[in-house]
Amino acid sequence: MTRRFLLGKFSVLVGTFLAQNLAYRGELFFWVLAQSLPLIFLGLWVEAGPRPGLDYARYFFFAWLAGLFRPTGVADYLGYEIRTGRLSPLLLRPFSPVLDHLADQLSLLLVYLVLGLPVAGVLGALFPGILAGLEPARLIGYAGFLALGFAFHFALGWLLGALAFFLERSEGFLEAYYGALFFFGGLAIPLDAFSPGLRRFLAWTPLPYAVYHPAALAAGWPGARGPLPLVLWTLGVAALAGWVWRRGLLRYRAAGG
Amino acid sequence: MRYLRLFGVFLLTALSARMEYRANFLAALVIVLLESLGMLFGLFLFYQNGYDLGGWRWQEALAVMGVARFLEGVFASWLNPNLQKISERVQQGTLDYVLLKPVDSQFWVSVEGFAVWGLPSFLVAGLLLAYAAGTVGMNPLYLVLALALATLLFYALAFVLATTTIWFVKLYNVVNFLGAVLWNAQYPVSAFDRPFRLFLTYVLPVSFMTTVPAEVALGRKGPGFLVLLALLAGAFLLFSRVFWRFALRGYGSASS
Repeated sequence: MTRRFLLGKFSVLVGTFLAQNLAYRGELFFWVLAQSLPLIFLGLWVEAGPRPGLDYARYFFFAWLAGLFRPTGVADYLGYEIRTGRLSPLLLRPFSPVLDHLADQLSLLLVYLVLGLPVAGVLGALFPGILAGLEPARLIGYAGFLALGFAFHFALGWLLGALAFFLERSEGFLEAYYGALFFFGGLAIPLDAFSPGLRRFLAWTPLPYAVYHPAALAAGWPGARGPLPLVLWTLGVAALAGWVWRRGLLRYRAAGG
Repeated sequence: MRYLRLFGVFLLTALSARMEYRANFLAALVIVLLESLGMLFGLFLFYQNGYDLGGWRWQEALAVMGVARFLEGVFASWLNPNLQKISERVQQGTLDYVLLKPVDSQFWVSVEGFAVWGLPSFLVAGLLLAYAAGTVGMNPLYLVLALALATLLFYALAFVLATTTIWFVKLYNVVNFLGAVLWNAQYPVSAFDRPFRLFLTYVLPVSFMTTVPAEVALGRKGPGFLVLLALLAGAFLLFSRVFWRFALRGYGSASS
């Protein structure tokens, strides 16, 4: 991917998908709402947790925002294109169809961030001072985490989607993964409520790095870890996805072939 | 009577079509069990650390979770397949065929499909409710009535949201939203901070879908609340009907 491609064609792709996704903004708002429902757990922690309420509000705000930076649907759409043969015309172009999905997800992210503004506004109204006194250095680290989390989930979607070359269905895995992320990734339960043994185990999985550690870092909680395991996971999954994708393309004969 | 027979026909064809995918069913079973374990674990954390969950005992809180899992089963086996189908019909213009039939259109699109994916959730719900009933005691008649009313309320809410597909065309995320609502309905509402509690009661009537039915069955609230539930479910059903009619007036059909 050269620089000219990135500036030229790729930005056109992002713009096209942005227009397409904006056409479904009403429906996408429900997606943002669904992603915002874990915020309800904030109400549980404010009431029953050991920390001051504002601490939890901050944590949950950053956890919610990190959750929006999670590409979803890549595996579904890619698998759909492969199974139905819609992939064939896309392969005729001089760049990979995977880039379509990258552009789609980036444009979706923009739409989500705008649609998420009312949710952020409500949180700000409920907890005045939620964003006061944050440390810029921590926010930069937070942004780095978000970019990495985006990359990891995109690679994961690519891998699971590419498996459609070989398998009939892989949706079950994603559903189980999202369920695990909900409870063990920090969306609903700040992980410091877990026992140390469980946390040591989770530290080896990608789960705590996309939501819990970035949110704990930005909220100024102690004990946030560096993202090294997630870097390794991302590289591993991306490499595997690339390999499965190339093997799959060799096998692919389009629908009816 | 004719509607009852139609309902039976739909149910049988859908179930016989779905039972072919046994591997997928097994996968669904495993996922539901894992999810339920996660939810139990989340609840257990609060009790283990001695946080006060709005004055609910562990077994009582499990009853709320049981009701939530029951609705999850209703969602997966009944609502989800039909909601998906409504939006498919709007996208492809085949809603026209339903409108032409001499059967009430809301009835038709509401009971057309059934899936077996909800069975594992019903199983888990049964276990949780049986445990709660065995340890702290529940009135079985009130439980059945409360579950039925909660189901009607949930249906009405889901159908109102699904009706928006007439304007939005795509519905995938609405379905997603409903699933997420249920995930938040598994804890007693009184465990939440005040603004959240008000939201769960008056904005999303989640409190009436899980907490109140559990409270009535457990005897924490009197049977009068069943009447309240019935009124609420009736009002929502009526609204879903009016809203569907209203939306159909805005439906331009496939060719116009």
